[in-house]
Amino acid sequence: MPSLRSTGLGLPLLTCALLAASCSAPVVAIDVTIVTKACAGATNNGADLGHDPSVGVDTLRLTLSGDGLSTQTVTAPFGDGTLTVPNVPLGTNRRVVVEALKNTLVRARADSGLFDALDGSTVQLSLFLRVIDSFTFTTGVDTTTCSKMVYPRAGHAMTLLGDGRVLITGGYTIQNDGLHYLNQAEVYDPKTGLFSAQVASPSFRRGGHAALAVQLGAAGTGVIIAGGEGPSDPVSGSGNTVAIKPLELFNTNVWQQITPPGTSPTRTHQSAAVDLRKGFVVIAGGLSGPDVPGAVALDGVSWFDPQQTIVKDSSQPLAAPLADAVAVARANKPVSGSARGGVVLVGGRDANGAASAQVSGVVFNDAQNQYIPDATWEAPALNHLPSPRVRHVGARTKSDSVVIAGGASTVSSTDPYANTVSLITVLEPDALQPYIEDTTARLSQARADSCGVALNDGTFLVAGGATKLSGVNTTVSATDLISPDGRDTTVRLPRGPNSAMDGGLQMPRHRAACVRLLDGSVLITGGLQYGAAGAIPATLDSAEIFMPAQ
Amino acid sequence: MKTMMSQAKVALVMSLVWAAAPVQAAPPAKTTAVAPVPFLALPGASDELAAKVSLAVISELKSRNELKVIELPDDKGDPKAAADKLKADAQKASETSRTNIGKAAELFKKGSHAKAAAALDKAVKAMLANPLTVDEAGGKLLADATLQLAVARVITGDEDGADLALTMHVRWAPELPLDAANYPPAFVRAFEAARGRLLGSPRATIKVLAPPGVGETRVLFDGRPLRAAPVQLTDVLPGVHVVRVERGAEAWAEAVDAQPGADAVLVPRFLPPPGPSMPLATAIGRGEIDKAAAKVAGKLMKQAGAQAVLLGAVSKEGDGFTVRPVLVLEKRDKVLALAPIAVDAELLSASLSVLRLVDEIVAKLNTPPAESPLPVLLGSAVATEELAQVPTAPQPPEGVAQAPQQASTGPQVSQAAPIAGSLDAAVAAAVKADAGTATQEPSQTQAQPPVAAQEPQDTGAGRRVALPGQKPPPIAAQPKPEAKPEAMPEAKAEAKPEPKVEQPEQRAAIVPKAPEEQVVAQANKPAAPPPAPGRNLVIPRQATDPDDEVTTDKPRQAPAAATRIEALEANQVATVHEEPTLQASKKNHAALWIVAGVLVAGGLGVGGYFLYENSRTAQSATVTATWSH
Repeated sequence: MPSLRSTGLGLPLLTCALLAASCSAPVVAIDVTIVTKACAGATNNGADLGHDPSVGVDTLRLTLSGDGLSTQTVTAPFGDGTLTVPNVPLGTNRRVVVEALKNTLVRARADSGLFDALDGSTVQLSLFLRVIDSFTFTTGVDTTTCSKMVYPRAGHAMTLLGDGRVLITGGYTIQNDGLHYLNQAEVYDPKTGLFSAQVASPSFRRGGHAALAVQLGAAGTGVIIAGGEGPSDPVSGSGNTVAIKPLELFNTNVWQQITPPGTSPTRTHQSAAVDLRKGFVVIAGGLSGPDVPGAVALDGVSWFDPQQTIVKDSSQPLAAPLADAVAVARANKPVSGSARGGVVLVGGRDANGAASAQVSGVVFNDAQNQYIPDATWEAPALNHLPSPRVRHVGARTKSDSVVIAGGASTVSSTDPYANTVSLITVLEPDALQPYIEDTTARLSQARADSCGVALNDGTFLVAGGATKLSGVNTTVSATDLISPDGRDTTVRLPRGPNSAMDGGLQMPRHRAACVRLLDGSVLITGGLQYGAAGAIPATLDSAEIFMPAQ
Repeated sequence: MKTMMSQAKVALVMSLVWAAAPVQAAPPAKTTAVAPVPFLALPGASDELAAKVSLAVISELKSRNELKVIELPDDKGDPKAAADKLKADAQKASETSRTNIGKAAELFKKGSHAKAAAALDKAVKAMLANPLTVDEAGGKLLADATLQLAVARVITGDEDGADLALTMHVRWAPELPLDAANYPPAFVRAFEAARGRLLGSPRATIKVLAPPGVGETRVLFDGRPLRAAPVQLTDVLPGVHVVRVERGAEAWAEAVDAQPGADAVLVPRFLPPPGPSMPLATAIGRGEIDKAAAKVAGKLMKQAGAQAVLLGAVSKEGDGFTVRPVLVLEKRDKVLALAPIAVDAELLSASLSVLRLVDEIVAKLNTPPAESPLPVLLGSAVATEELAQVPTAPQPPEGVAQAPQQASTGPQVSQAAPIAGSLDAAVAAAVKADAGTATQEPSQTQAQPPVAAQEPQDTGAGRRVALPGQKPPPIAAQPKPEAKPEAMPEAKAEAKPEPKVEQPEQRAAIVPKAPEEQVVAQANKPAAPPPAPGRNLVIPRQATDPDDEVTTDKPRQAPAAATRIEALEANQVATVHEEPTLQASKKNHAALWIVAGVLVAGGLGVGGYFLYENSRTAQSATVTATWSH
């Protein structure tokens, strides 16, 4: 018998055999780095009672879901430091949720949001565990310091971009010589937990503006900023404070200036929201100039059409001039018929500059091709609040009604927080007996200039604000979770890592900006904070994230 | 004829005068001022019926010349308005409390712990002074606030105050565990000591009767929802508690100082009588008038300038209703039980009964009989045997002896919610009770659980307690055992006394050995016999170049001479030499081998190609999560 060597088959056979033995399909790696610590700024705070997500945690639970994938859940002892889930089918809309368990109860959670795991890709995720039902300072993977905005700012705006990042625009810092408006934009990336300056920034320095995400058709998602006030010389930042007329559109890292028609008024302290039916940005009322005594309130309505990237004016004014009203977009679906869309404007300041109880609405009339007053809100029972309200917050509920909370009942430039209220009011125009009523539940603390965001489950989060305590203007960290409950609401404090006492904001702040992120958590940034009586408030650069319990 | 007519007229007039004369001539009747307290409805009767009976009786009283009816001024008010006012007061108190708690949170963050403690103290007192504030959310807030109060007091060095706050916290939330991982060990021990002490205390019982009216109720005990009224709350930890009863949007609440050995009976009323008669409502609602209630009535009588107070209750008995009235006289607050009268829901046949009642009142006022034996029962308000029992606090931990029941003078139910002053007293009583608990501690040492008995040892450490988030000062210089890699994890865990330090070590004790450890462990084992060759890779032997030889300690396998093909382990392949004796072949199957080889190679090539192609396309992913711990 010839040897295998002599036949020349031995080596190929062996090679093939080894090849066959070793050949297997490559595996896409989904590397998840779980950040289990709170940043030092959170844990070094003397009042902090343990916002560190890993405190007492014994088990980590990882849940994987996605298109065509039955949900997989695996657990590992927290002390292991690693966990592997093999043979996860590739596909789209994958999502990793990590929960830190402490005695079988979820103490902290992290959510990757949606991502695709496809052939040829390597997925790197950084997930930040955060104590649920509580605020935690933002941090990067390096937790030795908390991540902060590049610029301290208040009166700014935040807008969620399509990729999950957040665009932060405008605002101002308060210094001894007054307000310094910003035009620098920056971005918060939840994947890294970091803020970074945006290379391209808007032309105009402005604060108190609106910044809303719009669908630009084929061009994808953009952000339009409108109104606000800033220095007359936007380049140097010098000059008198004026209302900013041009709008600016952000798309693919480029800012484009949008000039309203000549008839369109210059306005600040306007109200703006995106019409859920038309996708237009409705801009209503406002002040003709900076917020000084004598500024004239407006009753005009304009809208920005993102498809045509133009601003148009309506020939039909609001029922009365109005500034600083809370604008809430609704589906506005009648009992029979399709949704009418439109925006409801609640409270604010009237033509005399006083706090207003007015409620009005606008709806797009396709026949007239413009916005007209929504007759729904002209009914006697629906055209006013039980009491005037200004510098309050509001949101649309899951049942398409509107809930507003807090604010002040009077306007005073010298004593802005003298008459803050804890009232919560529900506006329900579509019930058999439409109503606007104050609920029996109240905010835990009367306050104005809070931040309000509707959570995924319909709960309305109201965080921070300012009020007058013992005769001194005080910024508060109070946070309330308002759940609509028929005609009433229930209000509870966030549970916090230990108690409701530490479930609120880590840092008291008012005039901050907040936005709901793709994973359902809420980012709140900047704002002002009163210190000693008489001192100018500090402008904050810190940021916190509220991780809902669900 | 004319004369006769005149005489007749005179006679008529005279007769009329004569008839009237005795009335005019009689001395003016002695009038007694009576202050009627609106009758209360006991369970089964409605407030409306009680109001109707009150109205009928008062009307009849007013019709009597012997009596002067003094209506209690504030009792003319609208009960609904009074209830609304209570709600508004509670709302205001709630806001005050929440504002103070918010203020405390701000002060905490600024490091002003003493001021934070003061604000929290105010918040707690404000809530207790307005029991209606203690709903489900309020109860949680109260529990949280007391815990934070304890923390703030610990920081400021007020250990007694901290203990007091912890005692309150445990009393209101006995099942709420303290998150030990978030607090320094000394604080946890202080908490456990307070908890053990309180759970070891003798317990009280509170009966919560059903409020008048129809509909499902919900009883909340210190903000914790339990079940519908009526209910008997058992195992109540001694001290001030808040019982709240809700029905729809209506709510009633009362702070009660529960004392072991005596049952407190609470009578919820969603529409409490307004004004000064309210203090009597509780006594009447309990279904009995005792000396204490008589004193309250006497005080009320003096305030109103009356010589008697009429009170009573309407209860359902059989198919009808029974009114049990009681008269309290000015002199020594004498209590006279009056004959009960039966009425129907519409008072259709009550006129005569009411008439007789007032007759009896007049008679007894004129000639007061001996005082009725106390307490005078007003109805079958309390049917404790039928009440469902709900324990309100866990049993003492194992090894903790529950102190024997102490004799008590009776339940110390605070006054109803609107009387702020009296509730302040209740709060003060609560504080006093807490202080009492603290001062009684030494005398209770024998009955204290082991946890409490260890307290003296902890006291020193307790003075050094720091807040979580702050660096706790060292409790004692604890020599840390050196980390010895070869030491068993269990041994390391035992060597470290601090719980927080122990945790990872304890985890290490249950973590499976790392692969390296397994290797070491295997290496330390005595040499095992070589494993039997596997059959998973069968390769024809061939001669190997001497240069290819890999040094190995393993003994070379000596193949059996008759064996041509032998299963080998993979690592043996390179070390096998063809034995010269096997090189000679008796048969030549070269052609066969070549054909077979080509076929096999071709097949393998094709298969390999597909394998290669397939290998370039990923089919799955592996999720690898890593974290620091």
